Amino acid sequence: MAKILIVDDAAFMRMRCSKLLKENGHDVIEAENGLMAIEKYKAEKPDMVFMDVTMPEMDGITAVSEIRKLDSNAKIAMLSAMGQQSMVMDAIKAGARDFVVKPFQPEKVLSTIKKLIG
Amino acid sequence: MGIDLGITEEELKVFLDDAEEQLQMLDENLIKLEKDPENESILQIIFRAAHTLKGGAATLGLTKMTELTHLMENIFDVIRKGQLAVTSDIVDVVFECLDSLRALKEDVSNNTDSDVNIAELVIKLNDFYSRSKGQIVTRDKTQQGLSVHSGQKYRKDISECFLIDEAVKKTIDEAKQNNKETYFIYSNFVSECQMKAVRAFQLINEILGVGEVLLANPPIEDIYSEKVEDFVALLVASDNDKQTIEQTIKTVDELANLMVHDVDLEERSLETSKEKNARNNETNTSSKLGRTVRVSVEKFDSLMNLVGELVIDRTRIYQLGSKLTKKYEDDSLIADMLESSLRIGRVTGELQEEIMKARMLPIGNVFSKFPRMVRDTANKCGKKIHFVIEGQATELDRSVIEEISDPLIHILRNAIDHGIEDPQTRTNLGKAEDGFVRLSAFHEDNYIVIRVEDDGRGIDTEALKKKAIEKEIITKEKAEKMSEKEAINLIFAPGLTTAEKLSDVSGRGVGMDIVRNNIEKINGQIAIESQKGKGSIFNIKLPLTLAIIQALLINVDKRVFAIPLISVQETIQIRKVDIKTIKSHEAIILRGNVLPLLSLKNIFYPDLGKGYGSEKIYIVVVSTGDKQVGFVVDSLVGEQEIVIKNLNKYIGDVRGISGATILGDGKVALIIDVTSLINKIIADQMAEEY
Repeated sequence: MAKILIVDDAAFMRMRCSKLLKENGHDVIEAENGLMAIEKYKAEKPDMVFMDVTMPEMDGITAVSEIRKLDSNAKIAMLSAMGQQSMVMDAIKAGARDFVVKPFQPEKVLSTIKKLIG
Repeated sequence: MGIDLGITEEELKVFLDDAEEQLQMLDENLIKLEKDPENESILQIIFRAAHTLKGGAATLGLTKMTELTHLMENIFDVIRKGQLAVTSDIVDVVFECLDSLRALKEDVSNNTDSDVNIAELVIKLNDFYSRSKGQIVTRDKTQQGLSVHSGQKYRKDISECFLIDEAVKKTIDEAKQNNKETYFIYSNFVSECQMKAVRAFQLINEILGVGEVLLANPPIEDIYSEKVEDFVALLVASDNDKQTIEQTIKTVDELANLMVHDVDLEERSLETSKEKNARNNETNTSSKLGRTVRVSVEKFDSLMNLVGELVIDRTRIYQLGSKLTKKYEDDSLIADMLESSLRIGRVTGELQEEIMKARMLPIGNVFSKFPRMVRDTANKCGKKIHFVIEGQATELDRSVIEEISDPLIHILRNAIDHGIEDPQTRTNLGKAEDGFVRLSAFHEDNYIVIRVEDDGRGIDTEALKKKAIEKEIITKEKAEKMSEKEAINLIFAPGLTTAEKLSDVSGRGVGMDIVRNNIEKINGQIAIESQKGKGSIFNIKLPLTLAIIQALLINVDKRVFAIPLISVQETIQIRKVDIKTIKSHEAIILRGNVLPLLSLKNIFYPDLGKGYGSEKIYIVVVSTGDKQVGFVVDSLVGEQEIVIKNLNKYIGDVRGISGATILGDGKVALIIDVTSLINKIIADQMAEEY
């Protein structure tokens, strides 16, 4: 069981993702943009983060590098749509560890969690 | 085997054909390699054939086939690099692999799963491989390297990924001088991978933590602009060991066939671009020459059938034309019609010839599998054989080729097992230690002759006679009167075997009689010459095609019958008084020999009663093997090309009739099965002698 932060501006996405994670026994925190994500990360110290790429206020890539500044060990996986390959690469450069393509397959999300936090 | 990868029948067929080609190439060249183990071009051919096979198998998701060919490729890779010597046990194991591959291929083609077990072969191959590396390759590791994902292109060589020029070589050299190792890293992506570019990028990102990327294919800029196809290849310099690198990059998800390879400057795969271009040019020219289209046999069969129909109609139009000319001599339209019918005739003839030619295959297709068989058989029997093949380019109709393989295998096995003496005996006899066996094919008139000769002990006619008497095939009296030639032909008698002991090579007595039946089934003939102590020659005479044959048309009771010209020796006219009766059988003396007669009228129309209507009687002298018989017929019609139509489908097997044909006037003529009629005479005679 782990504490996981889901960052996405689309409520529907957060809902689906959090439902899946809760069903699998995880604690879920949500944030709807990069700025809020940084606040939540500071406050809650989650075990890992699922981060959308494009969001208002602060995008996912910036958020990744900001969070990494707070915690160089932060385990972040990007939630990305097809056609955002170069952005995902930027996120990885910024310190994201992995990614899941939306619409995601549940197994994929779970295996990513397993890989990042064991 | 349950393959469902959206592969069409057609594609599967092409793969299977390709696979067969590669397997044959492997067969041939392995034998050559055993004799000439250091020949680089042979090694190259074997390596490429294994590689090609692997590529196809991997694409279809055939894991076992992929694993075997992959390991074979490994073995030949180290052999060609001179890290492993070719030994007969390696060749044996690879031959076993080919057998398994054939079995796997059969499974694919029949959509069955005969559960071919390759585990033992995998262990053996790994063993050879580790022998070359001086290390033990654990099973685990190889399997990991072999995770095959369908729809993926299989691994590429370093030289296929990078252009290794002098500059790159220098870079590698420099890395080495700085105590860094150079690695070649290669990976495909699993089929469900949606962001290949990102995965490739992740791979590079991970590598950057442990080393330096010297080269990337696709180049890093391309990866960044999402131009990634189905693989990523990196040339990496690092002071970490291979294991660390492997551990590091394993964290990247959705990679397939990931491998890390030490790069050795001396490696042959690092050929310079010049060498590579030379090789490419070579393949280019060969692909230009091979402008072919694959056509299924069924299509050819139906084309041949249609041409057959045309041939019939051509003859018919001729006949109509000549009838019309007689009737309306002065009509100019008739002349026009005749002219155009001549043209149709000529074109039909050419069409027939072209299709026949297109159906022809070089007999080498069959011959090519024999060296392996000869080698295995010789090893099993403890014989040494010098096997020579000649005339592989001789072409035969496809259907004939398909039928001739089994009889030839049988004859060759007999030659090795029974014909050739063991090396010691041969030395004692003053013969060369290696027994000589030659398989050759050549044209003779309108036929193809396939000859198998050996310089072994020859056929022991005394032993044959003894056996035949024992088995009550002939009487003792008859045996004494038999000529040498007749005695040799006892070998074709059903249920006779000459070997003292049964061996698992030539099997039990189901031998030459079946061989002869098979050959005669395709309108061929087999004859044997043999000299005790000197050797034997088997001559197989075959028609060029099965569908259309030359025949002699004859009349019996006003009906037309066709006798295949291959069995006709001559036609003669005799007087009734010439007929003698020997033991209630009719015969004539032809040039000093007794020629038994068989009245076709009695055979086909027994109700009409015996006796000959006219004083002058026509005889068609026919033969099979060494047996000659005279068919008594009412009259001769002439020679003609006929198209064979099978009758079995409609009326089953009829003794003495092998099929039917349609004549120019639309009437059906039955084709006489000469062999079965001659056998009938022999059987009747034997029945009476007992």
